[in-house]
Amino acid sequence: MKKLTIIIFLFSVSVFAQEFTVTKVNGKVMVLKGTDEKATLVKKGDQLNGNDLLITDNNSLIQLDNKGKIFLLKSNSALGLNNIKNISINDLLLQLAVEDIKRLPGGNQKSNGRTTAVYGSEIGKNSSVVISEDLLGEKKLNGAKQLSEEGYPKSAILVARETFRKHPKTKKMINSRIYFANQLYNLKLYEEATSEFVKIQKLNLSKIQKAEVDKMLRKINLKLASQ
Amino acid sequence: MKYSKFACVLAIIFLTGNSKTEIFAQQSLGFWGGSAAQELGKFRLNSFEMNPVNFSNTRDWEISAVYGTEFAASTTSSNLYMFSISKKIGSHYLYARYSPGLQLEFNFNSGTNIILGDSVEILNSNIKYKEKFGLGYSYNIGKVFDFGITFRYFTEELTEDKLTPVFSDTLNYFTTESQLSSNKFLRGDLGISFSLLENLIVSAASYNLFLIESKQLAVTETDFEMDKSKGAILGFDYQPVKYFGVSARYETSSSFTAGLNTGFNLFGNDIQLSANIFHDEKQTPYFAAVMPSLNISRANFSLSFSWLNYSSGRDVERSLKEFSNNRISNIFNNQYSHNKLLLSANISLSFIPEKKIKFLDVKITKQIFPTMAEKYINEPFAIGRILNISDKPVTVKPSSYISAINDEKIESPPVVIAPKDTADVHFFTILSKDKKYITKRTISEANFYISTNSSETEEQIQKPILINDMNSWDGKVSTLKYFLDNNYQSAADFAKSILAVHKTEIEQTDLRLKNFIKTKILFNNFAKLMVYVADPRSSVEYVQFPSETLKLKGGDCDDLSTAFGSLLESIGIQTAFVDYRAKDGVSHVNLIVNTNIKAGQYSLITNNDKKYFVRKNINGDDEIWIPVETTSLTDFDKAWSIAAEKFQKEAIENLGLAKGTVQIVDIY
Repeated sequence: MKKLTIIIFLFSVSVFAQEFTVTKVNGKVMVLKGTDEKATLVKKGDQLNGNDLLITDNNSLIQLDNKGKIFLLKSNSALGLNNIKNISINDLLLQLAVEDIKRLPGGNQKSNGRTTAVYGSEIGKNSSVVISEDLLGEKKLNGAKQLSEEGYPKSAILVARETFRKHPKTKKMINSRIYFANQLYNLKLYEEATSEFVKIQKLNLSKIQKAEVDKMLRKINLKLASQ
Repeated sequence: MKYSKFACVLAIIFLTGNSKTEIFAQQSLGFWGGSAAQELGKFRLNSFEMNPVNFSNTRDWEISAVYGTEFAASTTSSNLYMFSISKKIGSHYLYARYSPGLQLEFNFNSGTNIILGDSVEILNSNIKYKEKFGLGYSYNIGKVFDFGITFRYFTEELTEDKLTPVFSDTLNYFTTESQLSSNKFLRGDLGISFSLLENLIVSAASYNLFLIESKQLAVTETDFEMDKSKGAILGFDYQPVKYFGVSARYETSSSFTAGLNTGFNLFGNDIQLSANIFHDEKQTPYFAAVMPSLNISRANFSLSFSWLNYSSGRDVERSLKEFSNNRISNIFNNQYSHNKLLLSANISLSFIPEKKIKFLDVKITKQIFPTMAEKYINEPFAIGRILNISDKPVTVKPSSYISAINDEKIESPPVVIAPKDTADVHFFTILSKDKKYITKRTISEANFYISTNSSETEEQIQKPILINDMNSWDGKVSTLKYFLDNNYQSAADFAKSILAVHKTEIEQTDLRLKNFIKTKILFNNFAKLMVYVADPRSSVEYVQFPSETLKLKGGDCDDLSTAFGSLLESIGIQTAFVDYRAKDGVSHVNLIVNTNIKAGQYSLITNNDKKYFVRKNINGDDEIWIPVETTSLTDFDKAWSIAAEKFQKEAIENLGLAKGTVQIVDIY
């Protein structure tokens, strides 16, 4: 009975953990709720939940309270609140593996419909854009870094991976990629870290970046050799 | 000592004494000893003498002839001992033999000479024994138990010269005349054998159990009939390995025979060597004879040589009286028999191929869902377990026939099985075109066949199988796509007719948004027509074909997803099912649609990056796919948002794609 009680308690915590109270707001902070298309301003005292995405401007910040746990999102960042959670190494590895699966070509794409020429006019982009695609990607990476610094490195890695996938231009943000590859190294996920550093190595790197990537790869090789 | 030559066995016994000795010759000494007994041998290298149960491993017809030569002191005699034919019909086995050479004749001089002038008349007695034919029938039960009955027909004749005085008015004189006594009898016996183990058989049989006699006896003091005492034979045959075996028979007259055999394979021929000894309670020495034999056999032909060597000399003169007191009980082997050389040829006229494989079982792993016919070409609906009972690798060809869905036998891929090994064979099937449209669930009979290189079926098993109707579905989202194949044209007609109405809107849309806008237009029109209706209560999942859903204007999640997926695919928009598998067993399916918009251009359709999913296309470019909830029949934006929220939560945040609780199943 005690065991059952504990399990129920833990389950309850995990279910209701994603309720946040805004305790401090500096500058302009927006929230994109669920699958909404329009973002709204956040005010002190607002209640937020896990489906919400916070977006901070330059020189703005927001502080959240989740049942006594304080989380601070600094300026020029974006973060989905459901990502403020601890996940296990196994779940991280599973998700990293499925990232590759997701990126496989889907089904037979040799249908005539897709090879037929299409004629039509180009209309401009969505006029009600909340934030430009490139900027949102950059903000999400910043948010992921803060997530890692706040003690959620595994969750941060997943956020970064999704950002690189959904916002392709962020793939070229070398320093961010090196940062999250290092997170993999710190979690002792040497094979995953090697894979990521090898991919980074193929990008246009500065001398400093190249030296750092080479140094990390040597370091990982030594670790792997000693195992 | 004098000899007279006869067909089979010859001995001339003179009346030299009156000593009386009980002699019962061995009943169970066959022509080949125990070189191959009963069911352990490939050919019938035995006869009633060694195998009173009569059963044999003969597969079909077998013809056998035995030719023998007997070596007495000064003469040899040769003859065709017997010619036999046998046939196995299922579990029944029939055997018949004609035995012209199984005969024995004795001549006796009475010792009375009549001097007539210058000539001398000698009074003789003559005794003849013949076994003319034999018939056998046996029946096999469960491959381990046999019982059989045999009938053997014999004749025995005594011809005695008698001196008869003739008294008349003018002259009294003696004359000699032959007096014939005869007995014809049919002997019937029963036998049983039981396989205690695969290579150990025990047997029991009677001798002289039933006798039907027909006697014509003259007045005589001579007892010329064979000894017909009743008794039993108990025996075993043990063949622990193919080329080594032992066998023994014990008779209730205290006689026994024992032998062993060994062999090897030479250039594809089975060579078998065997040796037997026998003991007869009334013969001397203790082991009255040894009997080595050699057998060479191929697939359908067997040749055997056997040598019966008695330990003691048999050329002893006996009086008629002594002979009467020591009657024989066996024509082939008795106290007067001489050494013999036997040659046998067996020809198997089998039109039934040698059985190499055994069907152990077959398990039906899938019901038949006619609409998923294509699936059974790649996935087996049944798995059979086959044993290779031969000594060589065998290629097994499986095939099946289900009358409800097939017009002919459907062959499945062959499997090679190592000697004495077992393997699983997979049965696939192809539904005949005219039998796909099944409107009612039925239970049909599935016939499973296995054969080897020959075209004939070696084994067959029947099992009942459930054949579902066309709308039945196995509940797996991966098979939903089969419901799109039928009536594809109706979906295309429906989609094109709607898009034609929105021609201007589509033409004025950004090139990159063509798929997105078409999807939106189609969904909004589809949603206007459709009503969500749950499946009827049934033990099996039910799916409507797109044409049915469009006609009925409603359905549940799988019907609506299949129908809308069909509309999109019919106009070249790539679509996939999303399968949500809940822990409580309640599953859900909706769609994810390829907009063909590049990953970095999501703002063309949304401000919220939770509303799409990125997949690589065939060129390696990331494209935006959007989830659509087909049961949300209000408008496209809502259906998209609901599906996106569910997908984000269950597939991404709860790691559903990683853990397998959410699966994306491409329609093509």
